[in-house]
Amino acid sequence: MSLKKVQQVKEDKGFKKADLIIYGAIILLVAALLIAVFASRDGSPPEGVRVYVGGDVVFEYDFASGEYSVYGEAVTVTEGEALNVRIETAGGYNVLEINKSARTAHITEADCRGQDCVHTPAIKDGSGIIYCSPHGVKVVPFGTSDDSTVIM
Amino acid sequence: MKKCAPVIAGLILSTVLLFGCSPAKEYTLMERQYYFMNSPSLLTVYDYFYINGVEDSARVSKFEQMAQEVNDLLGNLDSALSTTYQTSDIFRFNAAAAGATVEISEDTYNVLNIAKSVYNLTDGYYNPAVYYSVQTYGFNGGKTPQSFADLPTDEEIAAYVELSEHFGDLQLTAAEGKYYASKPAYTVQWQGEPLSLKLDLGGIGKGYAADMVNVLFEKYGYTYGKFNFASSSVAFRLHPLEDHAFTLALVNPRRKSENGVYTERADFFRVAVSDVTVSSGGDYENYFILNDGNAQKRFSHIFNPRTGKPAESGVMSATVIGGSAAENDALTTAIIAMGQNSAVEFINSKLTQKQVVFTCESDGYKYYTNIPEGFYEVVNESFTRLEIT
Repeated sequence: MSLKKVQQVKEDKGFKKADLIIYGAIILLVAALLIAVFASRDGSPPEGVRVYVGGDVVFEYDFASGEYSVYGEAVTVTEGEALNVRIETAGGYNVLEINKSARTAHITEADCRGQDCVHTPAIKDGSGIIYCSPHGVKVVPFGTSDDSTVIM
Repeated sequence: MKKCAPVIAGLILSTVLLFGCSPAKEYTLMERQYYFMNSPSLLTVYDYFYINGVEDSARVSKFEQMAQEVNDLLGNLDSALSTTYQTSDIFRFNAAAAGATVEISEDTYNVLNIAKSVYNLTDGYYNPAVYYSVQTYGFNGGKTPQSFADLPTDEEIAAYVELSEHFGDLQLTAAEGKYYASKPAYTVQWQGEPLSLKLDLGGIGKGYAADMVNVLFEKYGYTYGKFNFASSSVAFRLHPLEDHAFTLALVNPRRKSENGVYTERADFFRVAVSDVTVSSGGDYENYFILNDGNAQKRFSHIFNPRTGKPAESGVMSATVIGGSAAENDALTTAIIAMGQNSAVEFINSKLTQKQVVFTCESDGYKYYTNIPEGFYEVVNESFTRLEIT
């Protein structure tokens, strides 16, 4: 670098007004994008939930009608203020609690090692999924694109 | 350049946030359930039903319109093909005298044409004229036998088989926008009564319905979706994610359980499918078991037209992929009825344009498929490939 160039750089101290305008515009743009990203999430309550075991649908609950369907013998349902759904699998069990009025569903109990499913937040909108990997149990809200497997 | 660095960094960050995190427009699905032909069915369509979390009412309305049209279609088919509705085409045909001609709908005409075609292709292993046998074994409205003493005699079954062999004589005609089916003049005597030919299209109607819904997918311009008619026939379009394929998982027909809890996964075979129709059937659905001393005997709803009895070929299930679902629906019945050796010969000579999988009990559980290795996955080790010698 020439001596003249070094001298010029030394003279360029701090931010000029134009720089501040550009930085400010970038900060505003990033903030607007973050707001847009979070606002676009589907926050509406789920219409229902579907429980899969190993890709097999074993239980469905429809919040609108309050009706549920059990497929196979691996699921037992206890009705009360909330609906308690016990799912038996080859590896163990999970208990899904469905709060009918709040339109939420979460796993309250399981005998899997990690207990990740129990600690997964309740499904309360159209974007959540609860997955118990050791038992192959998956709880998904209606309307999610998780229906790529068809058993026949 | 030094001054441009933060600008470039900002633009890169903006681009990542805009396109990498959460697109404002993504596919969601809408579903509609139906119950026709004594079976549930499910229409699934993927579209941009929500944009930025807001419902696109035009797209939702379009789905509702198609869902209603599917409802009407299934209702009409059920009303035409049912053996029990007294106004249906098939009920009126069955009630008509031998040799009579009955006016039928275009759909019934189409279904019967396909039925005749598959009857000829399979050398009679698919035959919808097994009506009397199906009834007397307690399927489709008949009374289920509670013991071996309740089963029909060989003499009775022989009369039914003799009659069903005249299905090929059924004549179909179309003239001036109307359609007719003429019943064979042939009758057999059973218990002093003349019996004329009767039909049961349960083995083909759901497949035809799936074909018709597939036409509606085209009409409404939907690329992504599917229509399941129970576990019998499915019209697959594309899936919106990843490679646009659905995973077709075939049921293990002898899934083990202990104390009412399954100890095996539901499927044994997986293959990727897209833009294709599939039909599947097996002896694991709609059957009854009678105790024969120490042994149990399974009687399934799939009949061998040549014996007039529930199929006992050792083939437990069959799946046919590609072409018409109505054809495939009928072909699954024929493959189960004909048995493993004839089925392999038939698949390799007559079904080269379709993909077929069947399972059988032959020194353990076996499967056979003409799908090339590497394009499918067997997920249950109890099933090994049937070796043909």
